[in-house]
Amino acid sequence: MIYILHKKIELEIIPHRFEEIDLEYALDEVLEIASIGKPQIEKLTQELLHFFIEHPSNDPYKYILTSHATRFIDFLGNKLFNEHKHFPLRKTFQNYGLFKAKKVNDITDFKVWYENNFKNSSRALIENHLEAFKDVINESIIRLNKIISSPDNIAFQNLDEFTKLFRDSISRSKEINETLQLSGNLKGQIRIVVEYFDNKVTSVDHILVKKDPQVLEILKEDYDTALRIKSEVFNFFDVIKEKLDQIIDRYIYADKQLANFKENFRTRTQFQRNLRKFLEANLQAAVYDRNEGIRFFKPLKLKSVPEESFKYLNVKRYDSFIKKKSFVLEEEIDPLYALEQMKSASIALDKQEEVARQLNILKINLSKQIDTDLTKEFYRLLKETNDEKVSLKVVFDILKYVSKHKEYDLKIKQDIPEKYQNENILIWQMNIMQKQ
Amino acid sequence: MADEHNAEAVNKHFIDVFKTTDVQKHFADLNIELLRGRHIQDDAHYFHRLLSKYYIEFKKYYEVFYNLLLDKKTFEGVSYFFLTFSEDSKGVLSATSRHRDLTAVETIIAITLLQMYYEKYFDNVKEISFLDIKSKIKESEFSHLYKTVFFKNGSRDNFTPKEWSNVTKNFKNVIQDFEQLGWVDNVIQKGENDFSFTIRESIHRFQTMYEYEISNFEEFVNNLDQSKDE
Repeated sequence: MIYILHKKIELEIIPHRFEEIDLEYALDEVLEIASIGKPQIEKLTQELLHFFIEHPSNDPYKYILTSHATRFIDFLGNKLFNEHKHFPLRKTFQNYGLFKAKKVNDITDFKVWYENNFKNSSRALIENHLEAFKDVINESIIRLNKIISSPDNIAFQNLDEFTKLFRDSISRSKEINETLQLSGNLKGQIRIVVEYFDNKVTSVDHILVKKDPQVLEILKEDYDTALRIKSEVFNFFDVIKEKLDQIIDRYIYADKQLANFKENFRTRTQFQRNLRKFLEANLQAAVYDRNEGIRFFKPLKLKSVPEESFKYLNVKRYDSFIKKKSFVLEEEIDPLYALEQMKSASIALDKQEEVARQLNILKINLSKQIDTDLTKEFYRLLKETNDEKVSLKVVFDILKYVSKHKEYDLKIKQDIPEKYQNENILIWQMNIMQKQ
Repeated sequence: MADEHNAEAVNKHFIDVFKTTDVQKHFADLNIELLRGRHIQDDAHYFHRLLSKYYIEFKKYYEVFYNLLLDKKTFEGVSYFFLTFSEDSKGVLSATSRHRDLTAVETIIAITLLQMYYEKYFDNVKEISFLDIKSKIKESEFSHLYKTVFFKNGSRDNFTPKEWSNVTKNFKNVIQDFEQLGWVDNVIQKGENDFSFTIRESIHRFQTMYEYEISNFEEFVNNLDQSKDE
């Protein structure tokens, strides 16, 4: 659509400042050649307004193409017609790209060369040639792929003829490579220029700088500018070399494959035919099932691969083409382990019950007696329950109980009564007194 | 006597290999990758180098300790290594949780990828996007069959974005499983409904798995039809 609008403006069919009706007509023309559904013109206009069209100042009802749109058209033109590729690369580069360092007297000379002879001329030309070479190789590869994938024999007959065209296409790289070699000379001249500006900084007259410090600043600026130009030019050639190598790699690979293919022509074509049939047979043998996903209903032998699991979490593999379901997974029970756990749980419960029972008895006794000998109670418990943990827990809980109730006093004598001195567990003499 | 002496020398060498610095540094990780079913190609530089250097010793290691075969294949100038089973045993990995069968959908997608590999025969990088697969489903000579298998309806031309989204997601799951096997790499999400990946030379392993069936296609189809009639 942008191309149509641009062309109409160029041919003066519509004015430079066009209207919405012109957009609609351009869209109609697009729809005549492209089989797409008709989009809403308002929506499309909004989309184009971002980058490709804009309202001219003081005229909100008209449109103009943006500079981005113009660049886009230029790019398309280069891509589709690649007019630049017809310019002789090496000769143009020799005439405009190269220069003699001794002709550069000040930074303006160098800047003028960079802007006019390099950036807008040689660089664009090299890029366009590279782009054209890339297109040729890419198109050739697409065509070669099509020829050998074609099920009919007619395409194969064209293979020999096309092979010659394909092998000729590499000659385009020769001119780019020669130009890159010439860039060595250019780089040498640029190094001289940078050194020239560097020398100007280092050899500046100190008396002059003292008088006017601005002099040194200007020289440094010139040197920085020269350095920037150097780095941009050098980087450009590095990138071009890299891109060229990539394209040549693609060519070499394709050429090698071509030789392989020709050598094994019969086996390869037979194999590809069989592979096609094998795909068809597998597709025919498969069925989509809502519950099981895609499965073979014919007895096709599935092949195995190792899949050792190195994770503790082993997630079961489900065929992904299945309608998702939720499952309740029953836990597997090991009866021996469960019995053991039951037993230990029941022992623990029994102990808790015993602690509670003994604690209650002791609390009742406390309320009835004025002086309770806790040490004696502890050894009594130890004897009755034969479980030191229960006895200790009861004593510990009763001490907590006493500390919270003001009607009791706890007396601790830091002595071990004589009659208990042979016991395995020794505790001080403790008495709980009921306040009067 | 000489044989015994040689065998002893080989055994001694076999053990010594595991004492070398490079093996000690990389073998533990390599072992995990191989046992998980990965195919090791030259881009896994250290693993590939180790396998190339000590192929005979490692082959013996897997034979003795796992009853598995360490194999090497070369396809289009690229070599790759993998572990596989002998015809009559899956060795130490016999338990069902330690190996798996490729599913029907994986088998179909692997054949499709193999075909796409050959369709990009002259491209040095076999990059595929889901849009390429989509056009295969919609427009290829087996479009009707693909649609029947993936959408249960071969005669419809258009499918809703939700239906496509489901197929895209499931395709991606399979591609990620293949990435684990080392048959594809560089799986990259490209927007909401597209992703791309690169098919590697080791996809050739799948071809070798079905070599007999593909080379003797008529026999394979006859057997298939006969067993169906039974």
